[in-house]
Amino acid sequence: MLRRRPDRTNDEWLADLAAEGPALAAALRDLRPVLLRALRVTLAPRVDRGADALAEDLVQDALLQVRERAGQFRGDAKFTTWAQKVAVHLAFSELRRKRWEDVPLDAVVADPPSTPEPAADVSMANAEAVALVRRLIADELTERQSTALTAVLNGMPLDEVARRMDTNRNALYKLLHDARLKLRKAFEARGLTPDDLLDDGA
Amino acid sequence: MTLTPDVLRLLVAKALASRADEMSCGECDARLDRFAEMSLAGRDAAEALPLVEEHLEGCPGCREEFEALMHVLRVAEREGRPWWRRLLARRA
Repeated sequence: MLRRRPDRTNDEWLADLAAEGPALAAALRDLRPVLLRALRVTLAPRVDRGADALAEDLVQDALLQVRERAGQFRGDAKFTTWAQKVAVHLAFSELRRKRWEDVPLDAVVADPPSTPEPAADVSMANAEAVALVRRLIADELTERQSTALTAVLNGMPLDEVARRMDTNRNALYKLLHDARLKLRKAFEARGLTPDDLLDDGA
Repeated sequence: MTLTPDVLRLLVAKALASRADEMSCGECDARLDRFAEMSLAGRDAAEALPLVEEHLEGCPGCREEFEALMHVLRVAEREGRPWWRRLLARRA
């Protein structure tokens, strides 16, 4: 059995994870506790019970993802930092999937938000501003953009909205970004400033 | 579809702050390990990677994952210290 080498260089990690046989087995053996700890530390404050068991369930997936995606490692950080980032993302994807699995998109789009995200302490300037923004949304945005925006602003994570809209997180971010830019352009075209639209309560 | 004043407020604020050269979640994620290491080392990660910093300010999902990664790295750093260093740190 090859000796433990948790302090491989980045190149050594990449070479061993791309190999087969004993070198690969040793790399996975040495990486496993690193990813398991990352999963446990991420899950423990966010799961009522069974964080350790869930971490054990996910660590194999994490190792597979690290191996499959090793080509995406940019090399400007430690490989183990990058690998732990993959594990953290996997943990959050699972948490969000479980939290939202029984919530259809319609429910989030139709209902007012229960916990709006923290933002500046401002409200809409007046009823006219509210009516104007609603009209601009109807005129400028596609139905898909409106739906996605409302769902995200109502608290549904991007990954979960993307899953329900048969797309991926990146494509959804671009859809939302385009929507925000369209609205900004529409505000500017009408000479509307933040003061016209938002009331800072001063 | 219900767009309450609260939701509209958030939307308007985000729209007004939007820029053409924003980073996507994927682009931010690709640089998050470097950003985290720089932050942990006390270097000005926001100055070196301003688009990552801006994305994290506007994207709660990515922000949450970044903060979790920082916590993971701090725990790893602590556990990687020799036992006598950990003892001294506890007594301090």
